[in-house]
Amino acid sequence: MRKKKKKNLPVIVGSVIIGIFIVIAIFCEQLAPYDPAITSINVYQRPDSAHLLGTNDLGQDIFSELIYGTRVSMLIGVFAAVIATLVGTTFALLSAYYGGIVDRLITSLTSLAMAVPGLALTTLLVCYLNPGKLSLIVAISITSWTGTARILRSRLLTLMEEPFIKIEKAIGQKDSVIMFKHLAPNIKDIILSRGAMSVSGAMMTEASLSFLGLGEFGEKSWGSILHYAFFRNGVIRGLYWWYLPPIICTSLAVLGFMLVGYYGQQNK
Amino acid sequence: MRIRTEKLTKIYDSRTGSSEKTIGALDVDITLDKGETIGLFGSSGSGKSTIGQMLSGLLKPTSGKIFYDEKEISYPFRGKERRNIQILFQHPEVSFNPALPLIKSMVEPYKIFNIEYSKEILIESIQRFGLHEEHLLRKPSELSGGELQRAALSRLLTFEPEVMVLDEPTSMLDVISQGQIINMLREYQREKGASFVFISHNRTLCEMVCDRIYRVEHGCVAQETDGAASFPEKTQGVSQ
Repeated sequence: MRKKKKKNLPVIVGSVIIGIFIVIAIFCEQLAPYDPAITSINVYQRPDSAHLLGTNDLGQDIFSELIYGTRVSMLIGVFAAVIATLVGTTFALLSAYYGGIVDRLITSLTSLAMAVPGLALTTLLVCYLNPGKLSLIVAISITSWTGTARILRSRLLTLMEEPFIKIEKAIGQKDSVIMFKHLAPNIKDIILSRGAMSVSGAMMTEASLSFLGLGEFGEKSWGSILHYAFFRNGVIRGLYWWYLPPIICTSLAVLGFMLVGYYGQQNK
Repeated sequence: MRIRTEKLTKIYDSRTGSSEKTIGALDVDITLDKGETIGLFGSSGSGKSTIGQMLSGLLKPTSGKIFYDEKEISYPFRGKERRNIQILFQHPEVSFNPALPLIKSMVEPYKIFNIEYSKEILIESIQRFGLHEEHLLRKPSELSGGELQRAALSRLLTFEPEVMVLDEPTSMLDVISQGQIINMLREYQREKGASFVFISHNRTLCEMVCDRIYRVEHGCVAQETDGAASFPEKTQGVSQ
């Protein structure tokens, strides 16, 4: 008899949040009332029916900026997380499968990368790589694969002791086939949930970096909106409709991915 | 002589930082002839499985030699000896990748050893082990222990290994399945002249199946004569 799948409320809530943001990111041209790049003379306007969240220092519609920012933030977060998870998984597989010197090298590398303060290194990398979407993705993934690699490695080490892996070795199966056909599918739940956690981590890092002004120029993410709100006196003047929405959006998206990642794993 | 070992030893390093060592197997000398079944009999933790895994090339010996047809072979096994020395494990429920339907695991030997394959050939070969086509489409978790162990055996016999290490192959099965497996193994041995290393902690089963019995204690091995084993003196008092 198969067990009936229990409803996992946190995962459902998380998925709904993620789903909404994905829809916004895909259809932002249709959803946004204005082109966020267009400036006007109506600067620092309070929210009204024409501009739901008012306008910024250049007269740009903040609501439209927020909608377009969803695409940038999600894109960077998801791509960085995919790369980080792929790198982490590959390292974990190599480390657990070959053991010995390979394992020691990768474990040392992981510990070394973990010891380096992440945000500082990422900031440094972005500065060197010219600010932009691609360099943000690269910089975030370089510093965030370590946790995934470490957790997967320990899980794979127990899996390596399972008879079915030993039998595969005994019948002379290729190393790559054992790794990707027999080991990886058995940890796919952890890979997926670690991936979702990585997205939330990457979005936080992206927001921090963009807030520091290291984001893509001309294309604003949520972090960049916050950057301008802060440096163009939005915060000092108490224009909360300018700086609160990007904070709420970032927090919600991060929460969504965290819920899916954390509870998706606990269910197993 | 099909398999011969010379002072085969495995010493496990304990947790990092501690200099304590655990002896898995110490100076093991065993011989295995063509068509013969030898038993490795001992209590759990005595090192039977360690020896079995070294013989089947899954564990790197700390020292000592293994000879296959009087040719020294070393870990990891490759080529002819990799194909001809196989192992069957105690736990059938984890002998197949739990994430894949059984058929994916069953076709692997055909691909690896370039054996002519069609679904009909596979179905015919599993039918001799009392399995049917519909078993192939299920996941390992949806099959019983006996069915899985027969599938595991049929998978190995596809490429006709000459030596098989049987690591308590029947201890997790009910009496009927036990008998089935033992009979299948005996039949295969009669047909192909294969040699078996039968690992067990079941005295009666060992005596029933094996031509000679080695007793394993604390990683040391001595051959039994008339139900008694005399271990070399130096092994006395070796702690685990």
